[in-house]
Amino acid sequence: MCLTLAVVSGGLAYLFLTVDLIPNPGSAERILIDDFMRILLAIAGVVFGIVVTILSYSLLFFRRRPGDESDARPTSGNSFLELTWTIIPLVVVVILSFQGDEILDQMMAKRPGRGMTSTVYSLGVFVPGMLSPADTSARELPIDVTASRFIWRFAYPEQGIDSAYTLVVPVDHRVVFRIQSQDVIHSFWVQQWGPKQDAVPGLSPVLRITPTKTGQYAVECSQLCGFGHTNMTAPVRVVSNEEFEEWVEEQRSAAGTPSPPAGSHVMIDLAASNMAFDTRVITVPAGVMVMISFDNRDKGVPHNFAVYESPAAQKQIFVGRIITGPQRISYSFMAPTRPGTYFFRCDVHPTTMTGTFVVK
Amino acid sequence: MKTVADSPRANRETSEGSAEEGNLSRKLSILIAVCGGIAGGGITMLIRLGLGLHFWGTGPVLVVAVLTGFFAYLSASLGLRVLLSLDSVRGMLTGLGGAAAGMCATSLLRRASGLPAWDADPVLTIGMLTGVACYLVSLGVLNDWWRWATGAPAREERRRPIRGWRRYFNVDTSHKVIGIQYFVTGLCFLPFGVLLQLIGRTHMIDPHLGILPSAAYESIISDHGILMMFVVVLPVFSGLMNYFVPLLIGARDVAFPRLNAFSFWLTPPAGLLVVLSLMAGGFDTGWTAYPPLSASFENPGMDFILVGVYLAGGSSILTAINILTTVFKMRAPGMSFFRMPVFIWSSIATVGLSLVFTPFIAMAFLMVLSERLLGMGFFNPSMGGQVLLYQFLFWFYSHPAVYIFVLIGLGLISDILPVFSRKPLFGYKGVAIANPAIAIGGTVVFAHHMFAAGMPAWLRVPFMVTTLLVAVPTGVKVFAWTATTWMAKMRLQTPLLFVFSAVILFLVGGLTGVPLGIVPIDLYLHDTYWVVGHFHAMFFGGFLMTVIAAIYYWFPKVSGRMLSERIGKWQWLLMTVGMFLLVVPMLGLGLEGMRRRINDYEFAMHFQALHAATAVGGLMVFAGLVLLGRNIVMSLKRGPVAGDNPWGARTLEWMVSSPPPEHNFDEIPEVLDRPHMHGVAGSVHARVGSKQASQGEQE
Repeated sequence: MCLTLAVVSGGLAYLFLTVDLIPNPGSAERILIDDFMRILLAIAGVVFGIVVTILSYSLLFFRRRPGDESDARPTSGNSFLELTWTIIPLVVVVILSFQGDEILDQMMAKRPGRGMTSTVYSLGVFVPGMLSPADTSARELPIDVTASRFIWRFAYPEQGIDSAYTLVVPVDHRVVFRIQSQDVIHSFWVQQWGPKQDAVPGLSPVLRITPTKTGQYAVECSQLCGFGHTNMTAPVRVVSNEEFEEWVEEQRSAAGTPSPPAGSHVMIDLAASNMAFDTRVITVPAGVMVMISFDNRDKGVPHNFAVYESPAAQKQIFVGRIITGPQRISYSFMAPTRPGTYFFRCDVHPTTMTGTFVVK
Repeated sequence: MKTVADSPRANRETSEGSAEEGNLSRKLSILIAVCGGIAGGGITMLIRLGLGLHFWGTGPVLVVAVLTGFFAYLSASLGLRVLLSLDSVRGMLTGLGGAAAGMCATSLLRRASGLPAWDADPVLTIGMLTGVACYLVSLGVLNDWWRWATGAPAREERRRPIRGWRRYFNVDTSHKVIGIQYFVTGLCFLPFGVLLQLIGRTHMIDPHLGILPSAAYESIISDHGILMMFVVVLPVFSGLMNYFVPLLIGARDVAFPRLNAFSFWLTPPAGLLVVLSLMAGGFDTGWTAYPPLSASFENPGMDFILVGVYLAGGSSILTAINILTTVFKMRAPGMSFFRMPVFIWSSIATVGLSLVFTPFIAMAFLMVLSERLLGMGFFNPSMGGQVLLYQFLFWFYSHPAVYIFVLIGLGLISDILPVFSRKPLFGYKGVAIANPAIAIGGTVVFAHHMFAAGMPAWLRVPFMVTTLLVAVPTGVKVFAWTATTWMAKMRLQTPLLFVFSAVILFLVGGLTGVPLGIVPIDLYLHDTYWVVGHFHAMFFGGFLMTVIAAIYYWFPKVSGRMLSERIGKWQWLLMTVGMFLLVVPMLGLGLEGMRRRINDYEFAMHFQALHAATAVGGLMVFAGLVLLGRNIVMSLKRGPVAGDNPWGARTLEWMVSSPPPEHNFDEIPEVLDRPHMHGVAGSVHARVGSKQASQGEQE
């Protein structure tokens, strides 16, 4: 019995300690998270192993014999056992919460200058596949993140860049994101970087990340924000320091004025009145940010603007919020990268309010 | 002994006449049903045309057609007079009329004040409120209070007592009838909730197939959440408490029977509103309904949810008052607190939480409703409001709420396990005290739902500590159950099998909750499928499996017949495998970083396989529920007759007949010892007069 317990629990613990359960670590913060997660799952594995083994054993071997109607031996308590299984978990969870606090402090840079160390690494346990933790860099790079429905906009105050729609950061450099929202609650999250932070109207919470691997990633909105939530993403590139400086130069020279670099976006005015759109054809360049200023002039009538691949309206490209007139709203979305003829309509009046959406 | 609380179908055959006449009238009824359905569908299409919508909307037209058809069938087969004599039917019709009247009145008032006559939010909301008010008045559930208020003598009994199945469709103050009404209402909404999720899961296998318009997905899962929590779990547990708390403590009824009836009848309109929300455009905010999104979400579906949850919450507060008073004041002589079954401990912990915390979600929802209808700015920063205020209020209830949703299930495990182990519950005192400990501990952990939300960073740490601490009493329970099975004489019957699965699933839920309680880990896992897997394991283990165990355990007591063991065992296997297939892939998806509440994903192969696995699991759970339904229906008529105590258990409800008499106990028993003391020589739980209680002979 004890052997079975040891094997099962030990096996599960070993499994959780070694297998890379959370894929693609890409930041120093991720190391902290991944390591601690391994420990938590290992403990969980031990507890699960013990309980399930004993329960299975009981179910298999402590069955009543056929015809035996008598009661079992009435062991109904054991103070030592009960105290043990109250005190030990108590001690374990207290230790876990202290360790969790320690890791949180490191992640939030409450102790500047001190390198980040990971739990398992510092315990001296060798776990194959772990990255070595990065040192805290001397200066942090501040980036402003503004979330709105349904785009992410980035600004680099120290580099003088007011609007970028791709997040470019240098590797091995601590970045401080100041996160804001213009309408509803969103959440800023790059899976490979680890922690996320909600973007809340009226607040400016901060998130610190130290990316450690170059590559292409994506910001994904992690708080349900409406019909466009699923696709509210922005591309992220982690590049070397030189590439980053080049990119900053590019953005600054292209901008000149505090508006997005020309050619990357297009603004269109669209109105709905008397149950019809005021235009039947909309043309945009491929792959640009399309901003539609939509004016619903029909009093008490709900309309929206939605773009689909074809009149069958099965595959959506963008579905805008339905508004009841008289009201205005701004829609933003990325035009498809593939040129062609698409289809737009009002979802509330899908047969009478339609048009062609041409991508050049 | 004439037992009135018998099976709902017992008297149906006599009112339908002879077999041959029955056949003819059945055919005619079906014909009338079809005509009624077509008429209903046609009227819906005309109304839609009048409102300027496209005439065909699959949801509304079909639903109305089915409902009118069903109503027509009932009118034809039962007779309109019989049908209208039922309080519930009368109430529902008056409620619909009241809603329509309220909507018209609001429109006219608006027109008179110079506003456009139609604005979905205020008109529909006022309609809901007038509808519910008319429904309650017409039901007759307020009658006695009205009589007291106007000085007339209140009647103790109905003028003509109703027998048979009709009791369940009328206002009745017997706790057993109310218990069954709650329970069956909850179970009736359960398949609908599961169906919603099946549609969602199927869509997620390949979102590009277009099974669902992507905009509908979030509404479907949000409605699934609200429906399951407030319209299935709450009524089902209220039903169990209502039926069995008086029996388990040796009382004849609850403390306030009229209040009990009133609190039940709030539940059907709550369920109806939650379902109707989908037809009003759904709500795309998740069940948590955070503003500013919920305050500005255009479709009126949001309002249906806000009012519906209000009603369900009101019902649970009133039930709490009843159960607490009953347990504190009406226990049998000799039943001290440490001689109560753990189910009673769980019940008072649960209803204590209900009583204290439900007003907070009511407040939070009322504030959102005020923002939507009256333009107030509680959560609008530009008007001086605070977005996070909602989350603090909401989670202050919604965290204790999850304990409301599982504590009773855990109590059921603690009371069913000893019966099938033929051993007392190990560590009874620890398990009993763990209930209020979890309840009290659970009041100070709520902000662990908000670690990423933007509240002051330091504030997260105390909540992390309390969250982990509350795992300790829960662990005490799990270890106590495990020790109970050691050296036991287990009887592998269906209730025990479901208890076993419940413990394991609940354990998975608890262990996967620990990472969520650690702030830095939660900052990764928050809003991913890990959370979804975690709470589904909790709900399956703490609610669904335990309730099914309770059904198999207590069905003999309630109906006098045994459920089929054979079907039960197959159902158990199907559902256990299905639940694991549902939960484990979700945990995997969460670790991989898949966000929750999204309707599409990158076409990475292993994501799709995991989603397919959850869909299969969900289907298996649904199939299991279908089997359960079949088992119940079959056994009501043809199951083997159960005696007073088929399981040989040692709690008070097994001392009376199956089903229990109207007044429960001929003579209130005197309690001598704890329940479930199998194997302890000379121990007797209770005795009546000079007669010894049954020692638990299996019959």
